[in-house]
Amino acid sequence: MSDESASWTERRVVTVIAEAVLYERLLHDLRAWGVGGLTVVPAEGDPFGSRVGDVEGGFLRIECVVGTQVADRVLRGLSERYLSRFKVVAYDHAVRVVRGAKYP
Amino acid sequence: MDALELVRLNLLSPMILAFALGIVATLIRSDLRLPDALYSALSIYLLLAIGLKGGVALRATPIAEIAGPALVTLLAGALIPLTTYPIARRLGGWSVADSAALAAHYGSVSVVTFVAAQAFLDRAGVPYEGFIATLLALLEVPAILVALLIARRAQTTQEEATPWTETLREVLTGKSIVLIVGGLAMGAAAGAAGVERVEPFFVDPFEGALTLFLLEMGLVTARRFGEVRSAGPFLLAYGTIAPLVHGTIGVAAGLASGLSPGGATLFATLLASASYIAATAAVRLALPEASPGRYLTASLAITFPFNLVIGIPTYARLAQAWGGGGG
Repeated sequence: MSDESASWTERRVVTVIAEAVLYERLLHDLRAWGVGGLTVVPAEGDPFGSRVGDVEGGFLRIECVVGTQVADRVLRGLSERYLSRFKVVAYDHAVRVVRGAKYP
Repeated sequence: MDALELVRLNLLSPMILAFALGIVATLIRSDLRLPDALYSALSIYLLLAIGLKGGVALRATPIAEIAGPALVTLLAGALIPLTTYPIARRLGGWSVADSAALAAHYGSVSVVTFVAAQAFLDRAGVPYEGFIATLLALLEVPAILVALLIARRAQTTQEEATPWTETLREVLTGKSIVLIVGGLAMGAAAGAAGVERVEPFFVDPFEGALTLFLLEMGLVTARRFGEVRSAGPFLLAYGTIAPLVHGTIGVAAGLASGLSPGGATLFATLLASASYIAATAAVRLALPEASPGRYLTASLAITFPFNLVIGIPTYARLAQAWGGGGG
């Protein structure tokens, strides 16, 4: 048991829900802010209640597992560059991961 | 062919009926939905097919024949946003961003409206110049750029403005431009003999694919009907009057630049239609403060069905009357 718990590390999962048209731009910025791997899935529904989802591509949900510093940088960067202008929602929460060194 | 026959031919085509079915399905709250992947696949298919067909015609067209219509197209691409913007600002009382967004949408072009007009002429047996798909590609981009430039000049605050080169790259590398221009190049390079080999896939099932696509368009259009009611009279007036004005000018300009009545009908449809794919994506990126409740509702829920049902047969009738074609 103690061996197993020793292999767990605390990391943050940052979730970004955004219009699909922003994908290329977001990807570029997330990489610049230090995000390594990420998962992207098309999102159903209209998370912003404004029907911008009718724009081709709809919405995306982007998730990445990162360390606290990168999570802070991502949320700060999103807040400065995206949140006031675009339809973007971003939040993070704590997770436990194995092989924590993969997520700096 | 008289006006009533044109209207009947248009309204009772499977494509328009599928569009109506989509509207009805949304209004009765049916669970009918086309998978997103099918929608994407159909739009890729339609865009590439238009390009291929246009490319074959382009190869067989002398430059002198296309130069006049191409010049008029570029002129229209600049003039429509330049007139739309002040109308929305003064008559609509809209913000800089909303007015520029509307200008970008009405100056650019709806590929599906163009294709529906082509199918309409095919059914009516009216011949047209095949190279007009080239004009479609020419008209798609300039208006978006002109409208974004207007907004840039008019906006006093430039905080977080997107670099101009990035916007240009995003507009030019958009799916619709890549597929139409790419298709035109492929069609022109391969020629009629080459394209003949893919005809069973890209030409014969084309109207069937378009019918399925219009079913989806009906579903999407009807979902915005609520916003038409809340958007106010200016949106409704602009969405119906602008296509008629642009279409009428398009018929005259098309005939004057040497197009046949069928070609002038297609040219009028290009000018009368409003984009809801390329322009919308560009506007979301470059003018995110503009409200899609206005520009997208106008182009998608008002002008698109208006052109489909009333506009196209009207431009065809005008072109017949002024161009002297028998049809």
